[in-house]
Amino acid sequence: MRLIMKVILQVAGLYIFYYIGSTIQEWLGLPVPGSILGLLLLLTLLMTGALPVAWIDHGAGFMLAYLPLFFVPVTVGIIEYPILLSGTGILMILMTITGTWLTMFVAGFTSEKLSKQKEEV
Amino acid sequence: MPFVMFMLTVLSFMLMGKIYSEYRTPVLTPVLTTVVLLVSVLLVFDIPYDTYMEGAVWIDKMLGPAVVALAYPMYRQRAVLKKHFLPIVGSVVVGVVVAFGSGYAMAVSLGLERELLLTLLPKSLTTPIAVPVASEIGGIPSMAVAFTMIAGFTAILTSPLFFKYIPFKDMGKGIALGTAAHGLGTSKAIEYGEETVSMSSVAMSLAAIIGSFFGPFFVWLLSI
Repeated sequence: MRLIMKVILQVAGLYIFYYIGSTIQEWLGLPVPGSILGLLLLLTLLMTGALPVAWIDHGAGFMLAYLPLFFVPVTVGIIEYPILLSGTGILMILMTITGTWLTMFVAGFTSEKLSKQKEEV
Repeated sequence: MPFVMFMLTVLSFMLMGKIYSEYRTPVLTPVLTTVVLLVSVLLVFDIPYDTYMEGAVWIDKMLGPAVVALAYPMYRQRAVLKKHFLPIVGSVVVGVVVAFGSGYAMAVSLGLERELLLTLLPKSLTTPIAVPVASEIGGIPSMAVAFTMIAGFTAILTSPLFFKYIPFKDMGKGIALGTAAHGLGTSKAIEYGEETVSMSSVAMSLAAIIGSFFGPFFVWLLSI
């Protein structure tokens, strides 16, 4: 019972960070999503030790366990875009595959070069 | 009706989660199977998406706070990041730029219309971040999820062959998987060892943060 209360309160806390992030985004007219600003704010407070991690760990654990569920509704919206099954859709799928390989190659290659450099120094 | 849609979503997800834990194969990833099931139900019973959303919106509202919750695993990864700061940050930055840049170049050269181009751009980011980034830059969030998954499955299905011809070390493999293919890539990293998993997780987190700033900047810079 105490654990459930803790989770609920901590989730409410995460919601407050989300709300602050969204408000900042709106005020400053930033193109960065409010949820990301909330994330960075929370991360900064955790890193500096201003907010003890024990204040959010249970709530965050709960939210992350169900994270995939939370983006099901938006994904079901794909029903309104049958274009995915057309020629254009297949083209976009091929671009995604190519782009993924390219990104894997460049990211992996760069990390090997940079870590080798470090070893030589 | 809204309550039915709400419960339908939650129960489908729980059922699919159970099936997944039974077989543990990536094709049965709960989001994928749940979405296929729900889309089929909506089509069969001729239920419009808006009607579905009247109930499902309460689940959708949780996505924002859940993104904030990602700060927790990122905080716990700080030691790995500190230890290999330059190689991780450097390669993830380059990787994110290439992910967006290559998507843009291919889309433009093949004459993709603007909205679809913007939908394609965030595909390398973790799904909960790709959704708000796609909607922020003017893409279609639901389709962006589909391409995010395709990017993930590309890594899952082709990385054994990819790493056979391009033999990165454990760290390079992890950074390649996490930067290009987020959580699905990270799930594949388990097969390459612990170092690869931790690198992939850190790369995924960092790519998410960098991508959510770089994406809008990139779109503004090229005035797409």
